[in-house]
Amino acid sequence: MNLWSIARRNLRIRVLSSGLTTISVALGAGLVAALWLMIAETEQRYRQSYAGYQAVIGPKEGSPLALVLNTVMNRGYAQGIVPMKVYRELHDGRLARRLGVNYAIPQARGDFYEGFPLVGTTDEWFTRFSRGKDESGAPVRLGMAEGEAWSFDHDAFVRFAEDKAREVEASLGGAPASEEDHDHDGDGVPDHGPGEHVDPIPAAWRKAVIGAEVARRLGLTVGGVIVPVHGTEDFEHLHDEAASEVVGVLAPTGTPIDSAIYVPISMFLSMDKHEAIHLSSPLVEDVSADDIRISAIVFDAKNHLAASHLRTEFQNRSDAQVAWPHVEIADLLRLVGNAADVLRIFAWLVVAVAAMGVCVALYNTMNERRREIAIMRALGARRAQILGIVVLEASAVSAIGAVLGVALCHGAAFLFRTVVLERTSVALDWAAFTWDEAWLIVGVTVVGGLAGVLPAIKGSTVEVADHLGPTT
Amino acid sequence: MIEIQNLRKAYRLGAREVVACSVRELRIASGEQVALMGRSGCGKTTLLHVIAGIVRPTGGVVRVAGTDLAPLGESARDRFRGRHIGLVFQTFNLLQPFTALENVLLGAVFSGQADGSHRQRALELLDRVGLADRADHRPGELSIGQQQRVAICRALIHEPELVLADEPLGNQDPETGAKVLRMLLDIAQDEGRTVVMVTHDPGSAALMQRTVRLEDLREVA
Repeated sequence: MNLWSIARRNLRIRVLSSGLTTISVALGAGLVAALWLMIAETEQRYRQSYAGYQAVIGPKEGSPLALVLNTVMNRGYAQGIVPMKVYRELHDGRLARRLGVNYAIPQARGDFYEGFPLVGTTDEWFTRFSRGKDESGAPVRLGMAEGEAWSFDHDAFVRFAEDKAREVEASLGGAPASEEDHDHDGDGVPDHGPGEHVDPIPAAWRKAVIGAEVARRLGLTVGGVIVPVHGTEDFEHLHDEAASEVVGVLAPTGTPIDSAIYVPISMFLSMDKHEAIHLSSPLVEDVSADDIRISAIVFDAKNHLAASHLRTEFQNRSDAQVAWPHVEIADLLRLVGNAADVLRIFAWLVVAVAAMGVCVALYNTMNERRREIAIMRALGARRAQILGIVVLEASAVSAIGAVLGVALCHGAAFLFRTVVLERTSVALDWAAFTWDEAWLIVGVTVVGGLAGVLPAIKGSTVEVADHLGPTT
Repeated sequence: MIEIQNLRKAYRLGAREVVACSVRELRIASGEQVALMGRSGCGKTTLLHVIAGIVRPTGGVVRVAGTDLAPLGESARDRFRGRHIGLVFQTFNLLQPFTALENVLLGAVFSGQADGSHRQRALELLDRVGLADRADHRPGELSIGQQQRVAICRALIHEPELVLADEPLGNQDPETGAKVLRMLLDIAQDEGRTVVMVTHDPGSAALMQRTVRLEDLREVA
């Protein structure tokens, strides 16, 4: 027998009151734990999302944040266009040599399929883009879960751009484009012969690799077909001519990469009403491949000094801007963090209310416990020991409530993980317990113990002689 | 064991002072068994509470086991009571949530000397009063006489020098009451404990070595 066993017995004898108080503490602690879990998972997901994107070069219009959100997070719309000239400089031109480029991969955006964005790019997205390094130091490429990636490399893109430029130039009154010029897929054979039906987009380009989340949500596998849609819900234009076969499914990355569809950039720019080359004026006569319009360039350099060079370079340019995903997303998280802080405060208020519940529940029992306390005092219990017993009871209720709350949170995360993933794209790791949760249990126990001090003081001030029974 | 001189315990009722207990002199030797008698309201229970250190005297000297209780603070008196005094109440005052064995052990918890040996002693005491097979029963599952025997064991568990009993026979029939009282006195005698018992019952008082009437101890105002 000791003070703890006395406290435990007191709680057991008032099982209903103790149980209800424990549940109220569990709900408060569970709410805090759930919020922490969601915030931590969201921040983790955001931090993971920009791995591999050292810099994003995009149109001068729009904010760097909008550029990062569109290019990295698949949110919003492209803010404007970047001329291909910038891409070529970064890929293998002047800037590439100066900055020591690792990769510069173009992106063209603006169309969707079933709500998932289409990203026109080159096959360097699969062969060069790296999400970091594995334990052996090898770059982590985008793996394929099923099928294989389509092929459309940088050189093919340059040839496509040059063909497009000649087509546009011809349409402005120059020489007609030759049949050779229509060898879009670069296989040396014209895409169509004289008098044949002209398929505006060669079959070799109408291929798509889909992200893991797209495959899961839409039930798409290799062999499936996607038909891009241009525009918003109010005005949609179905690109039947660009119906593409799914040739590969990416292995899941847990990042927004999983939620996009990747097609050859030539296919994207060849779709009906997609202006591959934007002419600033009908009077323009000299059109070149450099005028091909893309949405953004994903950039990574071998040289760590590249960042400052890149910043300096694009500070004064009028055709593009550079955005730093790690900076923009950190800013965004700070912004979201303020809202998260407010939520945290509310969650702690719930814990405070639960602690008040502990206080009130114990305080109300003190009247009926006066005789019991008087007996213990008569047996030699000091006021401090009575105080200790009541505080122990409050702490025990709070500790059990906090543990239950954390367990409740993880149980809920397990039950609702699929729903949360579908609605928020946040993959809850329900089985991962953190030190924060251990501290939450300690914190709630201490707060609950403090809530027991007031009733404990009331209990410890019971006049012994008045409650021991009749006097003779 | 007990030395009291010019003891006075008074309470204030508004502007009026009410004297609850007044004792000119009382000495009880170590190992003695004394009955304390007197008419209702004469201050027997108050005197017992003063000797136990539950209430502080307004004046006078109260020395128990060589310690003057009057100048001690509340916490020190609590500690003293826990170590040196065992109490048996008229209404037994067992705690309902606890079993008979746990109620007995409670007496040791607050003595500051509780260790594994107390469990063995508690079981031995319960055995001695014929309740070995009732150790796991709660007070509500015991008869009045059994409850009082548990209360006696609780008063003795921490081997106090002094046992104070306030009408310990309560509402028991005289025969059962006398039997329970003999148990207490036998154990106390065997272990050399001093017993002071407040009672109205001359039969119970006759079992003690000495009887003191409180009226005879009154300090002359």
